[in-house]
Amino acid sequence: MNHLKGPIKIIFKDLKLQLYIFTAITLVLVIIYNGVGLYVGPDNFYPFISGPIYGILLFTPFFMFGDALKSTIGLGGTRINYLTSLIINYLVYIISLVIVHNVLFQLSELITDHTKSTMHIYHIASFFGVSNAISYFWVDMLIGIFFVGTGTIIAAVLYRFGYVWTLGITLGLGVLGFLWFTLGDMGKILKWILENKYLLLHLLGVLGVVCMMLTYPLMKQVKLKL
Amino acid sequence: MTIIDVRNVDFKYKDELVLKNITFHEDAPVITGLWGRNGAGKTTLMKLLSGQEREVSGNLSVLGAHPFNNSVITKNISYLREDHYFGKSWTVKDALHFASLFNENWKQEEADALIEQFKLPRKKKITSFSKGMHTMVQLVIGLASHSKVTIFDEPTNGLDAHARKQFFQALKDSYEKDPRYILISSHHINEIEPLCEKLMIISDHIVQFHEPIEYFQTQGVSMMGKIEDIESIVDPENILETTHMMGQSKVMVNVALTKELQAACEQNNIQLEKASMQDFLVNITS
Repeated sequence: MNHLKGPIKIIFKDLKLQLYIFTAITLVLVIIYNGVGLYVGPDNFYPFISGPIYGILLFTPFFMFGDALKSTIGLGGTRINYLTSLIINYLVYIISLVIVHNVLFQLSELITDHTKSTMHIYHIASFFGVSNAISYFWVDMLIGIFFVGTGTIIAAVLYRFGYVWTLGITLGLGVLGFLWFTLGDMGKILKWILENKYLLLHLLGVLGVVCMMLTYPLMKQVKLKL
Repeated sequence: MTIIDVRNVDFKYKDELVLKNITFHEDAPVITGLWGRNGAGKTTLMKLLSGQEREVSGNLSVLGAHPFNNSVITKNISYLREDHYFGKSWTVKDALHFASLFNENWKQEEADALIEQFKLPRKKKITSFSKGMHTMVQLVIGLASHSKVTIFDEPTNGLDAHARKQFFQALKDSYEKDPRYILISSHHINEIEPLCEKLMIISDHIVQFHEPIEYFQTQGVSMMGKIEDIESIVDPENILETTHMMGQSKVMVNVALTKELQAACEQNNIQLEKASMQDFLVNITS
């Protein structure tokens, strides 16, 4: 664990700033929506505050094989230490952002319940048919893990193989997907997805974890771009 | 204990061979200069020794183990690149704090003293620094790390004469208190020569020489006289460079400056002097 202290602190210095910025953005959105709900009072007002947090969870991994990696290796860290520290930091980062999201969501609900506000923030957890606060938190966690995991593997593939190869692979997969979608029988799959939304969300969470683990073989011997 | 053991190491970037069959060995703490022309493979060798890259073939061991992806070993290695990378938002204080977490033998008092000596502002972002100040931060980290293997790549780039003097003195003091293996890569051999006990020359992707500095201090002479007279004293195959002027020839020869040679030159009316080390190295690697 002592070997991870340096990389963990270097990565956290980068992530901490994003955590503060996106907490502030989400807070501003909540204040604006509550103001509109209280003073304008439109009917059927279900705004969405998750955008900035989901967005940054998806895009953060694309910046994590840059400055922090270069600084860590430059000071004597190893690739494996960096990847392990990155995953630990991601976990803290996801939990922190999900807490911010859900605390602000619950606070807004409380304000709406105790005032004449017409605003109810839309939480994506309601799409999966869950209703309690812990389930809301869990849904956000799974979405966060999926976003960060897939973002990390794409960023690792980009780093390892470069843009040309990655775009080529993406194009190939896209063509295959398109052919399957147009020529294959999608009906059964779509039916299964609609009937098993919550299970699918868990499978996406597992996929996120698998993607994160796959960054080890991709990155542990990669030639550095310093 | 073996500090560095490199045997038949090759390294390639894609299909380009950067290091070829590199072999050398070091058992004792020593300050070694590393010299080579651009593209010779110096930086790659330093990356391999610091565990930042892995060799394609051969065996490489630093402090008894392979350094690549080995954090137990890299805690005792410091490699300060020519333009070392620090995070965009890092201050001097951040850089020193992070460096202390990566180095087992970190000496905070030495870091503090050097920061004062170089007059570096602790709370200012490193990205706002001049080239010289940026270099100073690297030097502080390299010296205060007290790593058993410390590697500096062009450590005086951007430094003014006063700061260079301060660095060389700090390096000598630090080394005297705690002898360790220090490798200094520099294009300006005259600058690091007084510090070095050994010199390694890389040329055409191989280690051409790895000798005590005394070898280079005696090897390589300039002779001026008639070319027939010069060739009667030295083997023409050892002549590295020849220039002719007004019926006389000036040659640089790859031989040692000995009393016998001095006597022979006097007899044949040939002017003899020690060639500058920089010129000699340029010629033997041409």
